[in-house]
Amino acid sequence: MDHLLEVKNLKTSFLTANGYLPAIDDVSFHVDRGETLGIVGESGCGKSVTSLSVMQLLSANGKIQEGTIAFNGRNLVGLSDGQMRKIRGKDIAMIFQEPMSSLNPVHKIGKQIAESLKIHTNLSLGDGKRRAIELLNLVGIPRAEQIVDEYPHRLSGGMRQRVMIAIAMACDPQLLIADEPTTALDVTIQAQILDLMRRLKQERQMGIMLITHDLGVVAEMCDRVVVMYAGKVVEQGAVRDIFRNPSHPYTIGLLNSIPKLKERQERLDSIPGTVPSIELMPAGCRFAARCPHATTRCVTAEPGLLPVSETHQVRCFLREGVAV
Amino acid sequence: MADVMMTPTGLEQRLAYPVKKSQSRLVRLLRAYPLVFVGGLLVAALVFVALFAPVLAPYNPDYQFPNGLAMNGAPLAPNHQFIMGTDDLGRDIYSRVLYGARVSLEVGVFSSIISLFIGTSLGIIAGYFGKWADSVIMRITDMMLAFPLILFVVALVAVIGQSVDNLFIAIGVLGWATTARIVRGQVLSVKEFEFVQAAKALGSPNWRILLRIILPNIVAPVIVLTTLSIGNNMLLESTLSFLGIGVAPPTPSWGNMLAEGQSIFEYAPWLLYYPGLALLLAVLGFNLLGDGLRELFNPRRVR
Amino acid sequence: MSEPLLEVQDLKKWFPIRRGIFSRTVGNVRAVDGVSFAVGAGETFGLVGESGCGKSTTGRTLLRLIEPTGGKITFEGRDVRKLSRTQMRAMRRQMQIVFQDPYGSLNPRYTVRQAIEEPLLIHGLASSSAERERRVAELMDTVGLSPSRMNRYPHEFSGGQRQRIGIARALAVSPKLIVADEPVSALDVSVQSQVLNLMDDLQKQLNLTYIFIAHDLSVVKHISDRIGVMYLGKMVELAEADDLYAEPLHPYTQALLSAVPVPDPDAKRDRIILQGDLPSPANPPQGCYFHPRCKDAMDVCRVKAPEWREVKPGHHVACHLYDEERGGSTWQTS
Repeated sequence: MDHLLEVKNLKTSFLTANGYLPAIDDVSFHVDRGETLGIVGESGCGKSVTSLSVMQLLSANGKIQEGTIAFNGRNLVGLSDGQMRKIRGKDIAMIFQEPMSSLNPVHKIGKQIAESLKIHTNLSLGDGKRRAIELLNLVGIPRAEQIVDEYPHRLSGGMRQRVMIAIAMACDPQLLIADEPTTALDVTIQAQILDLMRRLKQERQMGIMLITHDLGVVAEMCDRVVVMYAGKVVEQGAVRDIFRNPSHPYTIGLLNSIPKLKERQERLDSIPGTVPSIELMPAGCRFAARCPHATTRCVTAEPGLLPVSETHQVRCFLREGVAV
Repeated sequence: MADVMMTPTGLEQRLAYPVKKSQSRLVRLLRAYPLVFVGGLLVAALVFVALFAPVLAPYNPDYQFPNGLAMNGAPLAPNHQFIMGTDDLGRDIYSRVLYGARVSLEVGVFSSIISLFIGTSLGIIAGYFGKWADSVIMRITDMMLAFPLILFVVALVAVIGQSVDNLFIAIGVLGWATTARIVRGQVLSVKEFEFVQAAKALGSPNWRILLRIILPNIVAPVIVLTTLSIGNNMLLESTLSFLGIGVAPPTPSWGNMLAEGQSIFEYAPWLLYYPGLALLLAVLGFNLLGDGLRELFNPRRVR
Repeated sequence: MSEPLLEVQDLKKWFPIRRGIFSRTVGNVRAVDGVSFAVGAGETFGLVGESGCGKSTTGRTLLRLIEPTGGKITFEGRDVRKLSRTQMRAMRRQMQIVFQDPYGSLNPRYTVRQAIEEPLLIHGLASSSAERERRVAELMDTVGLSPSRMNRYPHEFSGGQRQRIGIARALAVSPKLIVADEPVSALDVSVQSQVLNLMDDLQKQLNLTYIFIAHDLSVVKHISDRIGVMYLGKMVELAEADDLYAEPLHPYTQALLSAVPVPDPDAKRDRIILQGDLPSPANPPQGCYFHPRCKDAMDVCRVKAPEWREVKPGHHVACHLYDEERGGSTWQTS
């Protein structure tokens, strides 16, 4: 069977004063039904550009230059805005990091949920409200009958994110893109939201593309993981591959940088240096300047994605010659 | 300044502000907003004319030429001797327009400087110290803004007497309300930045925080505001002179020239054309320059 | 811990809620509501809690960046709240702060040199320009920045580097205590660990005392010797870092710890998911502030605020589960 979402060799560039510069390059991955794919990386790695590319919500100076984005076998690249609008919010829904600014402050909660329904289905006003209450119940909002008539500012951050999820769920999407959905929330509230997302995924066999910088969230939520660095996929695999057998020096460094709750560490490992800027992208491996294992070859040539196991690939010369 | 941007705020965000390394900020601004250049030229020309009016003017602006009137006593239309014609007293309009620039600029600039000084001081006190100082200053500001400025100025000039100096003093002393309000807003927002807290934590005294940290961070909008207010105050001067309560004749001002010309406008329209055009260009110059400066100082637009 | 460097007793900060044209006070937001703790010299004291718990306000009232409403702050035996403005300015040489936002906490119009030099000028710590330059270079070196970049502006540095500049500026006056208010929260993980290591090194080299405020439990646990947990303006638990993690006593601490996502797909998760949201600090619940969300809430919790007591050596908690009349030793059986 086809994958729910299959991205192949995606290259998205942005127009700068120095011409089009790629923010992501040669990015490929897929998401299946009922599965959560984590896209993880630090700021500037291109994870958000990837999600916006899939939704085709890039800012005016950005464009997809190469690659295909197949949703249920249909290529989304090159679809008109009108065609895309029929898919957005209906088949593919998205939630963002900032639940404060994602809701319109001048409309009632119920109206904002019904809005999404009105666009994609022909629902009467009364039905819209009834459905909104159902959806609020679904995402675990207490007193849903009263909350539909409230304005967003009356709700806490966690509640607003639940409302955003309710809006995303309105048309029963097949794919949910969640871009740092819990980053702005406190840890106890984050636990509530992650719990909710896990439950919805199981109940509805929805695919989730979860974009985050938090490896803890990835370990808890994801079935498979894509690690990005400076616009490239550097490693991908099943969640256990990534955490049990991290193979890219960047993934290893990232995992070692996290302070562990369970053990007492005298010193944290850290990755020296910073991410290269888009204008000054190195020719070879983009991680070479910060890599403890870098050789002269890494500086000049770029490694391809090499297999570690059937489910696990890494973009690093260290894998060469190692038997799979 | 901002040639290499190394902020780690994400590739996405960095992309939103394209940076070309070879160009200076000014060059980029001029390319993006060529009208600034026009504004700058107009203002420069005005300043030049005002400074060198005695050299540039062919005649004494107050001299009533015996041959400056037609046989029937009517003013002369522009000709080779009087290139902008003469007025109803036979004076050379060209010379009067050049000298008028002095009055306009003097009133515009000095009144704006006075307003700038009063408004900035009050705005900073209100914004930085807050509490009752803020309440008192802002209520007075509200009152000033609620009344038409022109009425206040008329009243004050009536008390202190009619002269160029008194005019700009009156406009300046009464016209600070907008500046105060904008400065207060700026101070309130700059005050929230953690670097102000950091300075307090380092033990900086209040005056140091005000002068070295807050003030430099609000200079840009204040300069823009002042530039625009010079244009406005020049217009106000003309309005007042036109009404006969501004610059007293015979001192030439574009406003009183317009006032003198309006009664015989039908058969001697050049009496209005030239001072009117000069006023238009001068105010336009300051407004274009002010808008351009606003863009120059706006970090989100041109970097 | 012998003589504490800093002692805080019953610290309070209430922000009045004003209404109407006469700005009548109609209520108070109890941002910090009776917090007590002591910090020993050379120690790192962690202050942890979720947004709105008052941890940042606590940090800032210690330095009197926000004037406290009540309570006593003693630094090296001196009552900080009784100091005059001039004395307080001098006191700021001893107590410094590092902020969360590496973008907002540096004046964009100052070069790095000017930023670090500022405290030297204010306190007259260097007599000549050459000496100041030498000191700035030395401080930049200390925090791992190349002194050759001292004439650059903050926007030319990355977030982690800016945080280093902020630390260098705080160190310029050779303080004894540094309040670090979420110093790594805005940074990426790999950079975060660089800054944490730096803070660790500096503490050893310069014998600094830290009050480390953060919402990230793993970070606080890593850097702190002792940790205080705050909820709705009150301290609910205080213990040695390892103790607190191994044996959290307060139900809130337990929930907080269990909610932290562990970067291990096979980790066992007996998560306590808290119901509901943080109540408004302007209108806190009766009795124990945590009772509406507490899984162990009893009748007494609804009416009576629990007392702050030491239930084990060095381990304090404010919870009725550990009341003496109930045996006071539930922790042993749990």
